[in-house]
Amino acid sequence: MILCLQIARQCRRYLHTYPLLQGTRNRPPKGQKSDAQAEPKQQTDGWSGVIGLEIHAQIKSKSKLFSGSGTEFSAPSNTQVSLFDCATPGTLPVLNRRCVEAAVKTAFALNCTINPVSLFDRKHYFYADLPTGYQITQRYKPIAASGWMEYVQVVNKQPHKHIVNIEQIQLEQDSGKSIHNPQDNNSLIDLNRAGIGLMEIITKPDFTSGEQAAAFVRELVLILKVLHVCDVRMFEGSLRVDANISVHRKGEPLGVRSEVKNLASMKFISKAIDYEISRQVKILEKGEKVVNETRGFDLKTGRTYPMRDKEILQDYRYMPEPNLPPLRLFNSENSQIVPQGQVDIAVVKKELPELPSVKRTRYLEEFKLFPIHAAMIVADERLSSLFDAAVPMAKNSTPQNVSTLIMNGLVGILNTANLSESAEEIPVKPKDFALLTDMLSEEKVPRSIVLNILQDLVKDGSGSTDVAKVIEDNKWYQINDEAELGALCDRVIAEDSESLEAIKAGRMKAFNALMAKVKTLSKDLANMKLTKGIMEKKLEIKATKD
Amino acid sequence: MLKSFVLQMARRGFLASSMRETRRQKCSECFKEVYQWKNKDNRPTEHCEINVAEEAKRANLSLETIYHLENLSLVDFSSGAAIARLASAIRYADRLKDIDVSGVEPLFSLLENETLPLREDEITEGQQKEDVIRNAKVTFEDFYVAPPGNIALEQDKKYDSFLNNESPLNAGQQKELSSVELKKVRRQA
Repeated sequence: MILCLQIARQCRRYLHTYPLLQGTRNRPPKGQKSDAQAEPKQQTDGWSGVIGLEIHAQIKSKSKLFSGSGTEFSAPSNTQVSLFDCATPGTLPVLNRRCVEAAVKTAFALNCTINPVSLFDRKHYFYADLPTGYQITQRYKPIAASGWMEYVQVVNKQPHKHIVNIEQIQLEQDSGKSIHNPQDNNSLIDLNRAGIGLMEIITKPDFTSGEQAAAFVRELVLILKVLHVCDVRMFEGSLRVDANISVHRKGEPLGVRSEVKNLASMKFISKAIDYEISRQVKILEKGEKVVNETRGFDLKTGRTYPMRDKEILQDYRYMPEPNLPPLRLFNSENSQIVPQGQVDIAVVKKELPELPSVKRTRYLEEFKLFPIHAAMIVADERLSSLFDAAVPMAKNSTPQNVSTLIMNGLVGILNTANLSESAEEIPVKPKDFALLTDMLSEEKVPRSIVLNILQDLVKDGSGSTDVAKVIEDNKWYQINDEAELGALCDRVIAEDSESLEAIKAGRMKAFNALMAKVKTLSKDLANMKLTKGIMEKKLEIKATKD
Repeated sequence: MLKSFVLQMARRGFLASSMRETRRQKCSECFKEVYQWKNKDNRPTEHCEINVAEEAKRANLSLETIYHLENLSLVDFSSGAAIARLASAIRYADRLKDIDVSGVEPLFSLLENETLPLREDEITEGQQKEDVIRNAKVTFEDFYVAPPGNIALEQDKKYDSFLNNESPLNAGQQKELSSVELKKVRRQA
């Protein structure tokens, strides 16, 4: 034992003296704390909830974290399992580089400090879907720590900015899937999912309500999608959220917390957290104590229930993983030589796409879009790429015109066309979209025609239609000439004497009938705004707002 | 009977064979060397007195900890002597706390100077369902079959009687089989 101590003293490895790799230079903007007015009304008599989240995001990689088997969802049972995944003695783990790059990308996006040296640990517990009896994770020296993220919570249609602190990001293995079979009183175990890489993102307990937590998860989901690190299908299990909830009165120490596991959608998250807070408040007001336990959430009843299997307080007996040496990350910017096959942080940083918050700020400040338009376009990557490409091409329209056409026209068409979510691009070329926007803002083509053309483009999908030519061939130009419009109005007035009499009698609804007639007569090409003015002048009536 | 007596005489001399057989061995509880009468079933008799309650208190071993350890390790303690042995093992290991290790980075692996090699993200294994489920005794349509959930161990053993020195030391311990009984067991297996 004394010998061990001497060796330990000689082999001093000052891990803390490795230069820390900063995620980004950005620190949370000084003085910008969570808006005080956004804090929800205290639920009951001065009790406030304290919530921390643990998010498990499955890394989108072709093979698993420590073995070479595939990761597809819904493969036939136990076909994507290698001998390491089913814990055959003698097999060893080998780390997947793509998973490390994914974790580093996420660390940059969440403004974390990246640890240049990180270690793996074993977390022991017994369960049928964990063949080895332990999970390889990174509890004590994870790949990234101490980050922050800004998110927006909409309260009464007002957006409020919040900042949440991220405790750490770690790489870990997923467990298999167990299908409970109550009729035969057993469980069926499928190990296809066992060993897939997970990123666990642990936040500090900065949330005070379920709504805040749901808003944060929404923003995080968007970031993970944009980074292409996780295909966030919560119902398929690619993203799982666990919440640690406790209540306390302000100024008093934190209460006993309980954990609610497996919240599978935003609605679940906010409802489960709010129910759990109210449940704990009720218990404490009775004078009883809250038990530290693991609970699940049932959407049908809207209540959390204790999970029978997890009644015993788990002692995970963490120990360093003896088969894995330290994971080192290199940074060529600090003039480090990156060994063959290792991860270079500088390369990962260069390949980072534009983050949603940065994009949103750009849209709001540079292009002056409406906040709701900015939020919705940023939320869908395909729309934002279309927008970014079309704006410089649309020479005669403002960016607001482009965004308005997207939001009020294209989105509706895409929804009805049932475009699958996995489609990479929208089948409308930016050049065509820019042309249509120009035509619309110059009032050369009427809006209904524009929408029809968009619909045809989406249906066609090939992108080979020459829009200008189509408009030219069909002569779909808007009639803006006042003389021509006047002539049309006269024709309609002459033909439709009934409506004329109705208007003279005072029934203004007949005015709409006349306008409709002009529209059909002109084959939808009349400029209805101008026509209205002209018709009103002709009939010598005051302008009525229909 | 006569044959064994004669053999004894031949082996150990005339005087020794007339004495009742004793043997010199270490008491398994206090490790002192004692002479013990060799009894018929060859079980070492207890000669020393162990205060289980005191040993447990010195090692900070409570009832909850014993149940917790049983759950984690699936080892059945079942006797006062075993608990006393556990307590002395804990106190032996506690001596590590006396060493001053402030400022020393712990050595967690002899591989600490190595760098973890990384693998390209490609599918190289899998599609070996037959190999993977071959060792499972019970399978159902290519799934492993396991009991439902985790079954908690029953905690109805009376450890508090040991911790209060009420039961004898070896009560509850499985009786060591004599050589005759061992032969029977081996023949049956």
